[in-house]
Amino acid sequence: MSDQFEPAANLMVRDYLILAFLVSLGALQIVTSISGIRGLWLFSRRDVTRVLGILLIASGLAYYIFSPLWIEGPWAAGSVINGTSEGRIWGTATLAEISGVRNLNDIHGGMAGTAYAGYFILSAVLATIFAAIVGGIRQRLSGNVSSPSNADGLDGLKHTDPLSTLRISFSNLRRDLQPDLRRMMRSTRRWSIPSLIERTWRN
Amino acid sequence: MLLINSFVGKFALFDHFAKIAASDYLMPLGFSVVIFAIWFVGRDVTERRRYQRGTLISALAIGISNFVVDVINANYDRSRPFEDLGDSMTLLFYKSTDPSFPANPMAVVFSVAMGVMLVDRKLGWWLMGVGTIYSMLRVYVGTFYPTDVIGGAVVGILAALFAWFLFELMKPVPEIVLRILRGIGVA
Repeated sequence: MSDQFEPAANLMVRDYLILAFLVSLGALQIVTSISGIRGLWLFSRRDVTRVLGILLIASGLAYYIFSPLWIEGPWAAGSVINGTSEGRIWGTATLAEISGVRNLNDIHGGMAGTAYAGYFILSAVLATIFAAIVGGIRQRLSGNVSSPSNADGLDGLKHTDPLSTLRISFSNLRRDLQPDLRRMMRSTRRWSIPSLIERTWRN
Repeated sequence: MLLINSFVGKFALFDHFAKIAASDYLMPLGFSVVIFAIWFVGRDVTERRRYQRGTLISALAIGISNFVVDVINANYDRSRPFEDLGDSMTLLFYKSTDPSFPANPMAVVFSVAMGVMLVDRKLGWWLMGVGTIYSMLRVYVGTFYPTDVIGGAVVGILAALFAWFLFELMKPVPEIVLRILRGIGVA
């Protein structure tokens, strides 16, 4: 991609990160509200969390699709013909052209498929960390932290905040890893590679 | 191909919908969100473990299908419909420069659909349905031939089945990975 397309590429990456972050955070709120993982809720009420999730997804999509109406980019009115990439001029789009403005080839400042995947993973991780931090602060402030439970991992987040869950999870891992490994090896198929390696090692 | 594409321009509103729905960002993002979201699904550890396996299988399948598509592209350079058919069709998209067969976006979405189907049949069928609509829209906007999207779907489905086989072959390594992830609070 030549330097003349660099501003377009930066803009596309920034906007996609915003879209993927908002959609990931929204999906996280909806699915954790269903499975009861309270430690990742941004609000303490289940119904509010679910509605917030839907709003986050809708706002992410609305921002990505409609922001070219007011944010300048490679989609100036009249330069987007049927969603093609060539000959784009810098400026704002019109409503009639909005459906095609984001269809930008990666050689003209758009994003490649691997870039979409990479930035999505980054956004999903950031959304989860954000939900854990906000959920933890919310639970600490409301005093709704401790429930005497030894549940760990995501199950632990049903009962307590992310920090306490992390402590319990790590402690359980150190205690149970060896017996868990032995149990997993016993239940594995005879033709699995780790099982074959173990038998060869023994003999 | 020409029959599907011949409807372009007849319904302006549908053309706008097609340009957004057949884009590079919308459907792949939707499918990615599904494999991210099912990580958190499940009433108990056993059910959640099953769905998390689905996430890992789908992610591995995407990698395998991308590799297979790259290998095929390197050996077989099929031209795009707009290059062959010229003015007899209407292109609603940018002129893609990579080979047409097999369709990479279809390989990705069908990898996810099949990966999810292995752990949740109903959701898997839904994703197959959405993937099929996405495929038809890609043909409609003029970027692929029908055989390209069928080829991509086959690659994606086979990649997911191969990923599942690798998981069985490497058992209990995936379970150990999930156990360690649970130990740091994320699974």
